[in-house]
Amino acid sequence: MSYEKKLMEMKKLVKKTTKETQTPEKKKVLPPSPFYEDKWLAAGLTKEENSHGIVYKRTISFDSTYKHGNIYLSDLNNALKKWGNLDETHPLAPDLEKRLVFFDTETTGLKGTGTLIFLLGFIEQTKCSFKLTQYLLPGPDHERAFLYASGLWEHNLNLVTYNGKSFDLPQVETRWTMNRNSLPPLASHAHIDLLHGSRRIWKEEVDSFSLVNIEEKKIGFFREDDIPGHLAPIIYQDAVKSGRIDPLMKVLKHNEWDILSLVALYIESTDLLFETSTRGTAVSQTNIGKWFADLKLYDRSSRVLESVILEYGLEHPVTHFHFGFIMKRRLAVEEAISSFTIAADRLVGRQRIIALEELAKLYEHKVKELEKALQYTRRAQHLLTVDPELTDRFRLRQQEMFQKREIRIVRKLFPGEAQ
Amino acid sequence: MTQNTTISSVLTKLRSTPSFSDNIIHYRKIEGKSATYADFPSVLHPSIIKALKTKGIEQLYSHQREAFDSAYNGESITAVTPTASGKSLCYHLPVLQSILEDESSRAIYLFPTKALAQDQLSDLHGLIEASEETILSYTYDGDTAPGLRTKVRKSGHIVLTNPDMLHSGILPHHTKWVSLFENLKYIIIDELHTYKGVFGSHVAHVLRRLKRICNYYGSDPVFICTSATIANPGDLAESLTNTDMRLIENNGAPSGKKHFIFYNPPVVHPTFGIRRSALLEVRDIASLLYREGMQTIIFAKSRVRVEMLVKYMQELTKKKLFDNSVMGYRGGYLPSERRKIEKGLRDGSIKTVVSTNALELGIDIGQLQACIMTGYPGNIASAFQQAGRAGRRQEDALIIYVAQSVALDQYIIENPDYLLGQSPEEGRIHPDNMFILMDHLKCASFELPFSLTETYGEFEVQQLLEFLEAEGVLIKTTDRWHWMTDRFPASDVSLRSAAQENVVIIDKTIPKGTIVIGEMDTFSAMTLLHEEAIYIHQGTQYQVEKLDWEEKKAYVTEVDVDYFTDANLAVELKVMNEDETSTAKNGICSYGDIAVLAIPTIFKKIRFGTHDNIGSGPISLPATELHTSSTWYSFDVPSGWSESELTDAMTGAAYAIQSFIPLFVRCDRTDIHVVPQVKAVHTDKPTFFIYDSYPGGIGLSEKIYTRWDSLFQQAKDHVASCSCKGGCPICIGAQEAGTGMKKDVESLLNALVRGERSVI
Repeated sequence: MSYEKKLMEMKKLVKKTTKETQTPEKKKVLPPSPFYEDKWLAAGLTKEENSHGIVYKRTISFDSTYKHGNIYLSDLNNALKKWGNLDETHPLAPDLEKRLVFFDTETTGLKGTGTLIFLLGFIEQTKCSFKLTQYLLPGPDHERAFLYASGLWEHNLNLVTYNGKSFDLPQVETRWTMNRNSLPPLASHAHIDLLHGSRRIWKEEVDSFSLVNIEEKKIGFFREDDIPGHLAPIIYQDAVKSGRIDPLMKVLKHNEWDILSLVALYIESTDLLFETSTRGTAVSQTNIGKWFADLKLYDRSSRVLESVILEYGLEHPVTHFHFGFIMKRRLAVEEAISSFTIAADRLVGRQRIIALEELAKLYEHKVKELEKALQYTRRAQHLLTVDPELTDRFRLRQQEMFQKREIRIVRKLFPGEAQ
Repeated sequence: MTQNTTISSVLTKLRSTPSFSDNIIHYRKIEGKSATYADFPSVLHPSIIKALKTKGIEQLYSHQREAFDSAYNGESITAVTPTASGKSLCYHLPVLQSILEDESSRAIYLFPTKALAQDQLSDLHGLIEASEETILSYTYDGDTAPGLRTKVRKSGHIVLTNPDMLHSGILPHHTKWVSLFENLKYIIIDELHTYKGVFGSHVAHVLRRLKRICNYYGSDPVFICTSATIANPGDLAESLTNTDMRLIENNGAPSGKKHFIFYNPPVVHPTFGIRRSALLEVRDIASLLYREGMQTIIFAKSRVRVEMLVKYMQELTKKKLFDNSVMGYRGGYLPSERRKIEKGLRDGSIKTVVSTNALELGIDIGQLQACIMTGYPGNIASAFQQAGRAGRRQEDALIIYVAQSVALDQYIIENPDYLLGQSPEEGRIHPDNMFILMDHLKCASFELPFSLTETYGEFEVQQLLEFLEAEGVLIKTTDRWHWMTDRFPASDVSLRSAAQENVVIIDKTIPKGTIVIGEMDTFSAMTLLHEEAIYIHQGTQYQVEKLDWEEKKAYVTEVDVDYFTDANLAVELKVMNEDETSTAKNGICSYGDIAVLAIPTIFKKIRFGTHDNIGSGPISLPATELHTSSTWYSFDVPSGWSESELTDAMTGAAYAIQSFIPLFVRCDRTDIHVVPQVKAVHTDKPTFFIYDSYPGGIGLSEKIYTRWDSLFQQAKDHVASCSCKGGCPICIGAQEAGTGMKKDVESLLNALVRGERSVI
């Protein structure tokens, strides 16, 4: 109600312009420092000036023995070496021509041109240490200097992010477009999104892919006295209105942890992909085997899956399910049949039906044992009516397909008979 | 020619059958006119000429040519285009020309609804295909696949969208549309006349924001608006776009002969002047037309009436299996169902369609042969649009106006020239409505920070920006106002007040096969979807079993009963702010802001056919609050009047006033409300309140504020001239207090007009 009352008061103030002309923009003068500058600098920020104005900055150096959760940052070198030996392309493979930079932003909102980035954090390996650089927006009028200082226009980098594909990078592009008349164009950066990698590796194993959950479960890092990320916008807004810096320094700490986790997560993901981590599980290794197969790196896929089968035997039938497809592709009919048989006997739901379908196909077309093919078809048809784990859509589609298959096989088995 | 013979045979039948002919009060014939052509412009690109010739077009209508020439010269235009006058070429030609001349050119087409945009896309595609040129056009709305969106943004030459999408999906993300905004040559606004009232005011701001973004990216697009016939298309377009317009009114398209019949249902109760239900008359006339094989559109005023007519009409086809030749069409049907009906109308498989004003819009259903209007639709523009649905090019059309017993309808039966001769209403918008202005100022601030000297549209806004700073939404720096909250303002602002949240209607007749059959805005749902209400959909009756108000879901099951339901709404008024006060002849009138509290109270069950009241029940739903502008008139109790006498007289007077306001300030009947209070809290005196039906008001009551005296005068003349004895639905409404009330109403109005305090 009070808002409405106030609006009614404002009514008297609205005037209409008489002229259409908009006052032309004056030549830009650099915006002055905000009133809280001293306070912010006292909290540990440094001030940097460039041709577009000022920006605040925080840098920290981590030496090579630094351990984040279970992981030594210095192991990044080994990880990069492994990637260097890989001839094929992979979504997590670094572009060795470009500097590898771990990158995370904090923003004042979720979307749209009114959302500002107020913190740009980078970690990059130097000769013998890791250097964190955080640029903090001194106030909304200092955006140009802030973006300019980040150097994102200067070099083509290889940025590593968590969910950067749909969040951080579009935000950077939006801010750049808003300042496109005064900033040099954005460089073209290569990009590795570790959220995508984590989803591929730990699907079915981890219940949530929030960075905090992955940190705790997979790199053994537990945050203490962290502020939740969704409060960052409100804290920054309060900081520029009131000048309060303490909560904002916690946002900087939060961002620092985020980026350190990126480094650790990249090392861990690489180790798992190259089978050099001791922390792999049957689930994650099978996921990785499947990922390689989807990337058409069949030899790698086969090697990974085989090693899981060697270690776990029949304990993890899903691996056999995926291995069956690799064998089928290699025309190793016998191996394929044995893998799919294990899968069909030990799995439930969708994968069981698909394994049966593969068996029916193999027996019908390759082995040419029609009775067997019919047997698997009928078993699948039965399961399609009783298995409660299937979605209706899948059920209907498969029932239709198996029905066609059944008719065809019966026709081949008993030619000439009226159906 | 067969059509013209059918029409003359139907006319003969109507005139020779006594049960019809006695009720035909007037017959008018409006002659058609032939086309005025113009040559193709000499600059017109050969590929466009090729496309037009492929479509059998060898010449343009004169208005199409004028539109092209003006737009090509950079002049913004508004073309007045009745139904079937080839309006889309008015904008397609300059737009396609600009793209063929410069491949980087872009255009935005705005349609009031998603459906219209999709409709026009196929039309446009046809033209582009025939030109054999590569021009990319896409619709961009909530249905656009995420994978396609980037392509539309980067390379779509023509983007067809709606104001809502522009408001929340495009403008707040303008950095993703750089190539569009940098090269925007044309903004097309189709169906201009639909942008009136509150919705129009919102759209006016969306367009101001659009222009602001274009200016930022250095483009200065030309506007092309097309409008149905309204009184002030040029003014409306100018205030909507805040741009000077050239008006193109000389329509060159041909039109056929139109036969108008004014039909008044017979009086069944002479004392009270009660006439037979218009609905039943419409049913009988429509049945005749159906049997004669004429494709007919029937307009009814409410969703319930549409459904009742469909139910009546389907009696004709019930013996035929799978016959869909009679269909209903209204808001609330699912889009797929609507598309099917539109197609059925175009290919002729649907013979009779019963519709609300949903089909007034430019939805392509082809042209029908006959149109029946159940009552006056509330404004002339709507009436023209409805009548325009009948009449294929150059062929005869039959339009039958069936009056209801309400005052306005009867007035038109008495004075057919009001409908035929009068110029249509004005489309009016109020971009300076504070609520709307502030909403969009926030959105504009979010999109681009305002500088400390910047204006917005025609408004000086620096003080308003200061207010937003105090509200904690903006912060001020040395040269700009920056958005500084984590909110996304466009999602807090809905352009259509009714569309904010819809109640979904779920059929659970088959427990395992529940399906969504429709949706309804919350305000209508209060009186149409309360528990135990009979909801009618395509002639099938459903009873509402449960209304989940929190979740906005109504669960219904199919029933077969012989009644429908009708709910009452109780209204409470509270004056929030009195802006102006002045003394009238015999009272004090004021203008200001009020809060209206609406609470549904009871519903009645009414039998089909006889319309008897056969039962009632309570409705328990929370109240809805509306803040709007109002004018009120208070006066002293005339001496010699008891409070109860005055209450009855004021109710009758309010009824008379309400019926005449649409004529008085040219608005729709539903745009404004009249409420009598014998002892108002605010004034402590007998008071009439008149308020706008929309949040923030749309300026109607402000217009009445200065004209109370003549409003009373006209109401008095109207009541006096009515031929009934003691009051009837034509003059003062249905009376519970018995007869004799008419005299009291007259003397009350007399007192107010003349200042005579006691006349009894």
